[in-house]
Amino acid sequence: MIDIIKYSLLGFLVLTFQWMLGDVFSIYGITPSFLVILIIYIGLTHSQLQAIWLGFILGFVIDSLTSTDLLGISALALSIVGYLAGVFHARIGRIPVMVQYLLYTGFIVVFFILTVMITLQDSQWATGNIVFLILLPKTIYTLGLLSGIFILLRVGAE
Amino acid sequence: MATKVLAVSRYKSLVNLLVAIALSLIIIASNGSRAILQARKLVLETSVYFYLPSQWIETIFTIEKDYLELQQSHIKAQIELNKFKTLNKENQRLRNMLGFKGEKEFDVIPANVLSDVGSQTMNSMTVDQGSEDGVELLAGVVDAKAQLVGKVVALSPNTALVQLVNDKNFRVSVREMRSRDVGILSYTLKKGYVIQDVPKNAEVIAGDSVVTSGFSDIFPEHLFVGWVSEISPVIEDYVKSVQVDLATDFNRLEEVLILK
Repeated sequence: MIDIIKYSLLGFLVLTFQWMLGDVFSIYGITPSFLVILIIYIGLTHSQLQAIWLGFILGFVIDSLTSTDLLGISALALSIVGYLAGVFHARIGRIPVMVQYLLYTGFIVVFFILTVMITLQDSQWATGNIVFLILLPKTIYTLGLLSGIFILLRVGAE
Repeated sequence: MATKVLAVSRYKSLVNLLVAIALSLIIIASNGSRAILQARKLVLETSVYFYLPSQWIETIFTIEKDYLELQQSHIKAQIELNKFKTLNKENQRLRNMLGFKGEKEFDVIPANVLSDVGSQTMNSMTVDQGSEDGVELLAGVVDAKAQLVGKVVALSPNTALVQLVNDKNFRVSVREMRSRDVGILSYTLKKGYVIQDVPKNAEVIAGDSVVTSGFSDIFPEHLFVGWVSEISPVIEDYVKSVQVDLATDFNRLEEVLILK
């Protein structure tokens, strides 16, 4: 129970940080997602169920605060990422480091494919532009931050 | 036994995931419903309390500098205003002589920017004025220099969510000041702000000013939008595509004015 409260509070702190200071980390308009890093972290190290539901709630709240389009896309994407990360809960340390990072990349790509591609499906922008100017840079940026945070927190180390 | 426990545990997670997906899809499918709008209103309303302390601290450090800047710009604006008042009176008199109808007047509601979110897909910001302060849905939003910022797309009693000009869904009817040509301005990923399908014979040149046309109920005419930066021919030279440099600096936006 204490863990649930602890991670929920952490979730809302990260959400506030993403909402209020996310732009500070923007490079040429590319903003990373700290929420997806948190959900992957919770899924891998704590609980798959909490990752799913915290992802859903935080996703809905961030959509409500920022989305000018469809509400619920981030909720959908974060709960799926929470589930996927939770599949490797408690055994991530036994997986080779290279594969670990491939998995992290996969989780982030899933999140951005769902959020970016669905949001931009009705835009007039070319798919190539969306992939190379938004999807890939966002994925690489978020992965870079995730790597730094996970190394500091020793996530994935046996 | 252990295998069974593991299987049940996996099944439990999958059921939870399916419920979360189902709920997400319901939310997506019923975006305009009352329940979802109420939930959003609640989130927007609560968000103010997170931002107020940091805004208060920020104000303490910037208030003196802001005051001096405002004092200077107030004097400049006063001189400009006197000039425009004379011109406006003359203009009104001439319009009356020609039998034109009076222009629509509008009021403004000043608002502090609580948080802005800029990504290349969606751009929005929250401001600290809501329906209780008289803000209406789809109200136009400008900065202190009356330059176009965006429009209100969601409301709570004390906050409003503003869709910025660089959002992919934002469209506004604009007029090129010199040639008087009209077009729809939108944001594209590769070229930035573009007025598309401008007639081939339109005499638009780089550096021309672009303002709102006033063809909608949201924005009055003559709100400054930006300057023409480049003109490129498209579709075998039948129409032109005009690129615009936006005047508004979103990174330095701290206060905005909501049109009423």
